[in-house]
Amino acid sequence: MSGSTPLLAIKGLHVTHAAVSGPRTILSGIDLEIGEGETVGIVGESGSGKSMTAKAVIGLLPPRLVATGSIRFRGRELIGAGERTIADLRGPSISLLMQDPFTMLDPLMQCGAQIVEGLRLVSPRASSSELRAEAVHRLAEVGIRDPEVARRYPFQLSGGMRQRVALAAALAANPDLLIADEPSTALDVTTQAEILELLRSLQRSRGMALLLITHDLRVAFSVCDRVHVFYAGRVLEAAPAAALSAEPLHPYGLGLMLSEPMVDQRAETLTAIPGSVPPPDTVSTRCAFAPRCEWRRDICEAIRPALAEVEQGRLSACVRLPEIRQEMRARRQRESRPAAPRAEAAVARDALLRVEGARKEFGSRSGGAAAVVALNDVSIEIGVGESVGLVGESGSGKTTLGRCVVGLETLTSGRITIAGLDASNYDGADATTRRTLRKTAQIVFQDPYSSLNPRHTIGGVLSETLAVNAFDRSRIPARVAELLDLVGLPKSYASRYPRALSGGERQRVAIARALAVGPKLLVCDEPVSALDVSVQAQILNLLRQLRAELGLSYLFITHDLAVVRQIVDRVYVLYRANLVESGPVDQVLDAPQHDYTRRLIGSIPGHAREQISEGTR
Amino acid sequence: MTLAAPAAPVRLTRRLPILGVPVIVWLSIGFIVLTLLVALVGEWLFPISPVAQDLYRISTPPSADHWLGTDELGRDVLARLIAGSRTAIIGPFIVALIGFVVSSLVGIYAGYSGGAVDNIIMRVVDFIIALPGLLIAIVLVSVLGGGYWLAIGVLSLLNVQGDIRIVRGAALKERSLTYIEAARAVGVPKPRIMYGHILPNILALSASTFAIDFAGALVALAGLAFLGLGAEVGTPEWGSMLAEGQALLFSNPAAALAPAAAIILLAVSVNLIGDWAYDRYTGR
Amino acid sequence: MHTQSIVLHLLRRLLMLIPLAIAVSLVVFLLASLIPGGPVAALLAGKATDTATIEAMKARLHLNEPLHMQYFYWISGVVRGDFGTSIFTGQPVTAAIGERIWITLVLNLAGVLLCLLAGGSLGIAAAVNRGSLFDRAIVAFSLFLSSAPPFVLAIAGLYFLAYKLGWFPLFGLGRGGPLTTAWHLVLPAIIVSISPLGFITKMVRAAMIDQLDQDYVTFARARGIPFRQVLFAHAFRNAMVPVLTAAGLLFVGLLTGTVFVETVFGIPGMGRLLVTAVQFNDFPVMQGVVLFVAAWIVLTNLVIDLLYTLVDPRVQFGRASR
Repeated sequence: MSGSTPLLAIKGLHVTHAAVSGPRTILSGIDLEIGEGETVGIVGESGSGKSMTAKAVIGLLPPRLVATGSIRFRGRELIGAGERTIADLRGPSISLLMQDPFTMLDPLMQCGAQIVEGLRLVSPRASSSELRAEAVHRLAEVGIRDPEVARRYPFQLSGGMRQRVALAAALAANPDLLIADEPSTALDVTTQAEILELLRSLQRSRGMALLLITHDLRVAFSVCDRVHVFYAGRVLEAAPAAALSAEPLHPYGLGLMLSEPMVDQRAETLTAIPGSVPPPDTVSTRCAFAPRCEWRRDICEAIRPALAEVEQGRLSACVRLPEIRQEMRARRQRESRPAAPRAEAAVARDALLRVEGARKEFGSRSGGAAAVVALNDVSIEIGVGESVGLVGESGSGKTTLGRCVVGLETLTSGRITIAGLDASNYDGADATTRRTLRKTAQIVFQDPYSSLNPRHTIGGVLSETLAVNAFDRSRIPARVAELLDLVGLPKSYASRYPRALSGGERQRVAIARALAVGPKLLVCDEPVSALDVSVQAQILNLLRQLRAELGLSYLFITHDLAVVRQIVDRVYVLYRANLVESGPVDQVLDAPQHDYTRRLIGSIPGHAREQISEGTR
Repeated sequence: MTLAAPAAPVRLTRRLPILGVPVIVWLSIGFIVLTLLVALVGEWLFPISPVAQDLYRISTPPSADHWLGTDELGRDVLARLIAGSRTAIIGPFIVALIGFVVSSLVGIYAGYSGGAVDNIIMRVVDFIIALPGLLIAIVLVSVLGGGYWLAIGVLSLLNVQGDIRIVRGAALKERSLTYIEAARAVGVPKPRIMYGHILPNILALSASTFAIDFAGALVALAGLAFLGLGAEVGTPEWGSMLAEGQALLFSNPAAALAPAAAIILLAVSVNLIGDWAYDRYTGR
Repeated sequence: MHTQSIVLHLLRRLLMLIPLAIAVSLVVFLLASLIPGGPVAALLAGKATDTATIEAMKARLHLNEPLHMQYFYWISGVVRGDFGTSIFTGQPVTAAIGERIWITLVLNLAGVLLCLLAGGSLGIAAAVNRGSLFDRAIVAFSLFLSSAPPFVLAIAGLYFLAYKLGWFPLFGLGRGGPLTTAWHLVLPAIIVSISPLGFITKMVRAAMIDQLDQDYVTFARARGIPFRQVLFAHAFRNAMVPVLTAAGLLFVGLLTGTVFVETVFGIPGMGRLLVTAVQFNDFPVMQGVVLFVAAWIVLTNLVIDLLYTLVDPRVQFGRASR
C-alpha cells in the first residue's frame, strides 16, 4: 500500500438494522483500504455482510439500516456527510455494478438510452446525437460491437449481454472506483470467464480501482490483488491474493478453500465445515468462527479477536494462529491428496436408465415462430449403482432431460426406459406403471428455499409423500423418523417449518423426501448450486454416503465441473441441446476431446495452473 | 449519522404491535366484534323499539329520551341503527363468503389447470366483467321488484368474477413454484395439490379479498337502498335510513349522519384488516 | 416500434370482442323477459285496457313471435340507432340519452382526471416518503375514502360546502351559458373525483413502492442519476403498467360513477335518467342505457389495451416480463 491517501478507506464500519424487535448487527468493525488502480476482493458466504459493505460505501443502504464509523473517499468522510455530498460522488467517482443482470436494467428503456443517462452527467452540454454516438463507443468498449444493440430493450438480450450493457452504464461517468457485487454469479461459466476478463482489462485500461465482491475464492484469486475474507459481518483475514491462495492464515479461510471442490482431482472426502453461518449478534463477544472451528479453545470464546498483522502485509483475526499454523498446513496437505484412482467400473449389463434419441421441443402454436429445441437426439445410459453426471450451461437441455426422466415433462420423441419400464410418457401410462416409475426414480431440486411448501411441516411433507404412495399408514411416523435420521437431521425437526431451517438443512429434507419411497435412481438437479460453499461439501458428502449405503444411482445435473468430478463416475456433456462428449469423468476432464468441453474447462476461474502454487491447491 | 436513502426511516415502534398485530388492527377487530354483538343481541337489549312511532316528536334532534333524535316518522334513530346492524352484517358477509368459496374452488382450478379449462373460465369471467355491474344490479333489482335478498344475490354474482381473477392469478404464480413441482414429482394427486398445497398459501390473499368484498358489498347495498332498491320500505336498514335522513339534514342531521358514520366505520375496519392481511401475504 | 404487430394485436382483440358484444346484448335483451307480466304490463302500468289494444301493442312489439325473432328485431333496431321509445316520456331513447350524455361525460371526465392527478401525486409522494408520518396520513386518508359510500360524500359535500359555506351552487345546472353550467359542475366533479381517490392513491402508492424496491432503481441511483430523474423517468414509467389497470377501471366506470352524484345534486345526466327510468319502470330506457354503457366498457377496454402496448414494449413482442 502506498503511503499517499488511499482512494477509499473504511475504518470501523458498523451497520445495524433498526428493527422493531430490536437492533440487529449486519456489519461490525470493518476495516478496508483500496488504493488508486488497485483491485481488492471481498470474499464471503451468505450472511457475511459483503453486499451491505458495497451499499454502505455508495450510500444506498435499505431503509432502517444505519451505518456508523468512517468511510473516506479521497480523504472526504462520507458517513454523516448528507445525501447531497454522496450523490455527487456517485457516477463520476464511485459506481456500482450489481449482481443480477436480469433485473439491473430498466425493462422499459432502450439499452443505449440507459448509457446516455450516465454520459449526460459528465457532459451536460453535449448534443443528443453526440451522446448516442458515444454510447455506441462504450458498448464496443465492453465487447458489444453491433451498434444496433443500443436500440434494443434489455429483454431482447442474453444475460451476458445485459451484464455488459450494465457495465457500460456503470462506467458511463468514468468512475475512479467500481464496486462489482457478484458480477458473474448469475451467468454461465463461459460467460463468467468473459465478464471477469472484461473487468480486468477495463480496470487496466482505465486505471480504475475495482472492489470485487464474490463468494467464490477462485474468482477472487484470479482477478484481485488483495483479498479480504468476510464472515458473519466481520473481516477474518486479509492478504495479497497469491499469498492467501498459497497459505490461508485463518481456519475459516482454510475451511473455505478445502470445501471448494477441486476441478483437477477427486478428493478422498470433501472437507465440510459443520454447522452454518451464524447471525452476527450471536457471536458478538467471541471469535465469529469459533462455534464451527476445530481448533477452538476457551480463549476463542472469551474475547473477540482483533484483526492483527501476522506477517508483512497479512492480517488475521485468529488468536491461536501461531500455535495452529503448522497443523493447518498439515491438514491442507492431507486433504489435498487425491483419492486413489478408481478401478474402472464395469458397465452394468442391465441399464437402470436408458434414454434413446430424446428430443424435446417447446413450440409456440400461434405466431409460427420456430419451436425452441431443448433436446436434440440425446442418448444416455445409467447402470445400477452408477453415478453419472450431466454437464452443461443454461440452455443445454440438461434440466429438461432430468425433468423428463421423472415425468415432469414429456419428450416430443424418443424413448426413456427405467428398470425395464417405458417411462417416455408418464401422463399416458396407466396408474400402476406410473406408481412404479415414481417409486423407482425421484428428483431433488436446486433451490432449497422454494422446494418445500412453507405451510407444511417437515414431518407433514414426508408423511404426505409416503401416504400418496400407498405406504402403510401405521408405519408412517416411524419411517419419517428413519428418513430424517438417514439424512442426518434430528427427529425433532419433523414438527418444524421450513423457515426455521437453513439452506443445507432444507436440502437434506428434500433428499429425504426423494428417498422416502425407496427409489433406485435419484435425479439431482443442481442440488448444491444454491448453497454456500461450506455447506455444499456437507451435502455432497451426504450424497456420496447415501449412495454407498443404499446402492443408489445418480443422474447428477450440474454446470459445475469441480462438483461433477467429485461425485460421478461417468459424465455426459451437453451443449445447446446436443450431446457433445461423454466418458469416464477423469478422462473427459483431463483430456477433453470436444471444443466446447475444452472451453468449459478453460473458463473455470483460476484453473490455469499458474495461479495455483505447485504441490498444493 | 446515517447513509440511508432519502426515504427517512421512521421508527414504527409507535405501532406497538401486540402479538405481532398492530394496535389499529385490534381496534378494527374490536369494532367488528362490537357490531356483531349489537347485531345479535342489541335489539333485544335496547329498550326502545325501532318501529315505534313517537308522533309528538317528529324529526327532533338528539335528546335525553332519544339519544340520536327521531326520524320523519318519529322513530328512534338509535334503535333503528341497532336494528339495522343485522342487515349491515349479514348481507355483505354472504356476498363475501360466496365470493371466497366460489373463487377458491374455481379460481385455483382454472389457475392450476391452465390451458383450455383456464381459457374457458376466464372468457366467462371476462364476460361478466364487461357488464356494467352497478347498472345491471340496479336494473335487475328494480325489474324483479327489489328486495334485500335479491340485491344480495345480484351483488354476489357480480362480485364473484373479480375474486376469481385474483385467485386465479395467485394460483398461476404458485403453480410455477418448485414445491408444487416437487409434489407432482412425488405423485401427489391434483386435487390435493390444488387445495392442500396451493390454497393454504393464498389464504392471506383470500382473507384480504374477503374483507374488500365485504366492505364493497356494504357500500353497494347501502347505495341500492339509497336508490330505494334495498329492503322493503320501513325495515331499518342503514342505507335507506341514509336516504330518508337526507331530507332531515336540516332538522336532525343525526338521522343521516349516524347511519353514515356506522357504514363508514364498519367499512374502514374491514378494509383495514383486509389491507393488513394483504401486506402479510406480500410479505412487506 | 413495429406498427404492424400493434395493428395485428389490436385486430385480434377486436375479433375477440365480437362474441363478447353479442353475449352482452343478449343479456340486456333477456332482461326484458324477466319482468313479471312482460313488457306489456310495464307499458300499461296498471291501466285497465281492452283486449284489442293489448293485442295491438303486443303485435307492435312483436311479442307474439318467437324469442329469437324478437331479439333480431331488437338488435336490428339497435344497430340502426333505434333503441326504442321511453314509456314514461314518449321520447325516443336515443334522443333521451343524447341529451344527457354530454353532461355526464364532461362531469365524469373532469372527476376522473382530477382523481388521477390528485391520486397520482399523493401516491407518488407517499411512496417516496414511505414510513413517514405523511405517508401514514395518506394511507389513512385513502382508507377512509375507500370506505365511505359515494353518496355519503355527495351529501356531505352538498351539506358542508354548498349549504353551510355557500361556496358552490346547490342544485342543477343553473340557467345561463356554458360558463354557468361549468361552474355548477365544479363541486359535483370534485365529489366524483373523491370517491375513487382512495383506491387510486393506494394503487399508485403500492405500484411506486414496488418499483422503488427494484434493482434497476438502486442501479440507476448508484450510477449517479439524480433521484428525481430516477423517480419519473424510470420508476414511474414502470409503475404505469399496474396503475393503468386501475385507472382503466375508472374510465370504464365513467358512465356509471355519477349515478349518486347526479341524484344528490339534481344534475340531468345519464345517471339520473337511469334512476328515473327505474323508478317508473321505464324499460326501454333502462335497456338502452345499459346497452350503451356496455358498449362503452368494451370500447374503453380496447383503448386501455392499446395504451398497454404503447407503454410496455414487451407486450408487442408477446412476452411477459423478463
